[in-house]
Amino acid sequence: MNALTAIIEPPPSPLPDSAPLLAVRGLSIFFGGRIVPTVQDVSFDIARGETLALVGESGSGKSIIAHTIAGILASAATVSATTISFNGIELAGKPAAVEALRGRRIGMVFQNARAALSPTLSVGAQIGDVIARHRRLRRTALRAAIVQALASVKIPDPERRAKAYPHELSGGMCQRVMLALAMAGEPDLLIADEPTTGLDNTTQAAILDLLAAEAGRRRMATLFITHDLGLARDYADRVAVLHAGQLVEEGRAATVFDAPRHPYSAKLVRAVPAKAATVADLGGIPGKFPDLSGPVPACRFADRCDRAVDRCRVEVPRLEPVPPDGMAACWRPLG
Amino acid sequence: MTRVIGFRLLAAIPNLVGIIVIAFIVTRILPGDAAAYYAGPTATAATIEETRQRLGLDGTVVEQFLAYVGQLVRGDLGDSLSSGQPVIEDFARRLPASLELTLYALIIAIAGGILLGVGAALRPRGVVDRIASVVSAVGQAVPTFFLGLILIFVFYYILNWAPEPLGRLSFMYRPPQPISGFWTIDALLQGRFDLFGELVRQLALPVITLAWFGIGPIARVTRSAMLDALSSDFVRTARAAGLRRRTILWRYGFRNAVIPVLHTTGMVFSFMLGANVLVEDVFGWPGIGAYTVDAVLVADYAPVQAYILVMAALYIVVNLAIDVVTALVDPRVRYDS
Repeated sequence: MNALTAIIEPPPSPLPDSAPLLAVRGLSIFFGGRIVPTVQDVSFDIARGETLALVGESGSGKSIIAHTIAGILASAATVSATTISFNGIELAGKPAAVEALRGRRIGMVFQNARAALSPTLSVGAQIGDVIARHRRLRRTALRAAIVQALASVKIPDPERRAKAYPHELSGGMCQRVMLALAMAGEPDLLIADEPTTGLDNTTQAAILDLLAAEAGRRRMATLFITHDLGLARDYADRVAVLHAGQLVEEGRAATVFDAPRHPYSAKLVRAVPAKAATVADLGGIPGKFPDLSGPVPACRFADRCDRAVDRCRVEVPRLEPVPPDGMAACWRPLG
Repeated sequence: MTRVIGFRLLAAIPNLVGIIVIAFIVTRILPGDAAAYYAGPTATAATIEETRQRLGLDGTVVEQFLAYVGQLVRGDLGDSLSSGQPVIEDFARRLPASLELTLYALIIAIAGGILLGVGAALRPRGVVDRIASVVSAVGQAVPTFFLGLILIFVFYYILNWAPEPLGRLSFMYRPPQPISGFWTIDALLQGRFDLFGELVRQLALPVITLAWFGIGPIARVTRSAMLDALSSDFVRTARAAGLRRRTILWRYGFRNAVIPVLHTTGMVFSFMLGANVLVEDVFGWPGIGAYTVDAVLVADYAPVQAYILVMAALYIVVNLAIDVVTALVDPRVRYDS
């Protein structure tokens, strides 16, 4: 940590360190005038230095939750939330408050990094734009900071790579650049939206190791969005499972993976190849995602669930504590 | 980059050769016998033949073509039959007038088209989007000369805001000493600001007429390219990184939308070169367009051929310039050629 970065360190937090950095309560997101919310009544916390994995199938609403927190959701959506509190600052319904934090206190990494970088600017120029914006560096100091940012994500020969364009770099390199870009504002919270989708396994592990190391070094909170339960177990402290916009289970990563309480989590775990011993053990999940353009059962998993009872279709189950240390939203939890 | 430009200029030579041949053939196919025309209404067969020899039109078409190419190689565009002047002298005097008109129109079309297009992309179906649609629809529906006449009728005849549509400058004023041939620039260089104002007033209507037809296509392409760019992943990244709106709009949005806009600009420029002919006629503009129309009507070959050649050369230069700018903006096209 040099003198320059020390200047822009945040003022001491007004809250005790045990308070969550990010607290989301009752978040619902509606799209295009639909009555059925795409995301319904979602609540979760993330503490400093903690990694929360938000897992679920494609279309479950993971990314739009992430985009809502970062305030970059498409304008066709309507958001309602009891609270979205970041470090004690209320963000719900306050676009200006989010804008002041974005890129600085809240960083974001996207999937498909090559498309997520401008093709007509060198990667150094793009990182430079972020550093110049948030740290007010110019010329020599800026150039040095760009090279340092690239070096910090383990990009070899950073001076030369700074002049490269995204199409001249590999997908893994582009993802490292994305990470450097998101880290340039020294965020307290990093939102990683499927950061390794489309990368090969080795590169994937390298990127996630790097992310975990940076998070650990800086006590940065991470919201890790993935459809890959195996990755969630390896890299997250806690896991929140999302099904069709409803949070169905939340708990310590190992617990959710080894002893899931919600039938959907259990089926999701069974669908991970590493967990199943043979192909025959590999369980699919019957049924399809509920169609959110029409009426849906109260528990949106009810129609795909072999434990469903009448109550599941009429009364939305709330997230309730389940032993040993998790939460599940189910009228008939497993175990 | 220099090598690429040099290569492209060399590659343009076959194009120019082809254009020289076609221009020559087209002018010979035009109806009318130049010798009969210039011999006058009372000419006999003998005087027509004599005129034909004097004009160098007595040989076969191939002989005439070779003689013409010989002239071109010496940098001679031939003599105008009607004015008796070397064509190159007429062009030296008239080309700047046409270029001044066309370039100002192009600048206004680019600036107006881009601003309308970006505004429309920021708020689809908003006010700016509607204005762009109307401007574009009028440009598509109304013929060039007709729009010119309407503007003259409204702004000169009714409102009397514009000066008489008779050329570059009213005869009440003394033109500036020619330096660049662009009278507005020359007037500024010589510190004659009142003259500059008068020149701008005189330019306004023909420039607007010509520019109008460029604004529509440029605005349309800018709008759709900007909509694509603004909904792209990299603009989302720039927003998530907390960059300024202005930076996101121009440096991340427009920079990635500019290439289709540039290519449309090339098309608009070539369109303007053609439309110039009509606009110059309507506004009495002493450019090469009006000059060439007169030449066509009297089977005056040399100016017509020279006009086609000059336009082709301009077209090639402008398109090369656009390709160079494209390569500078987008690193992915840089090594393709």
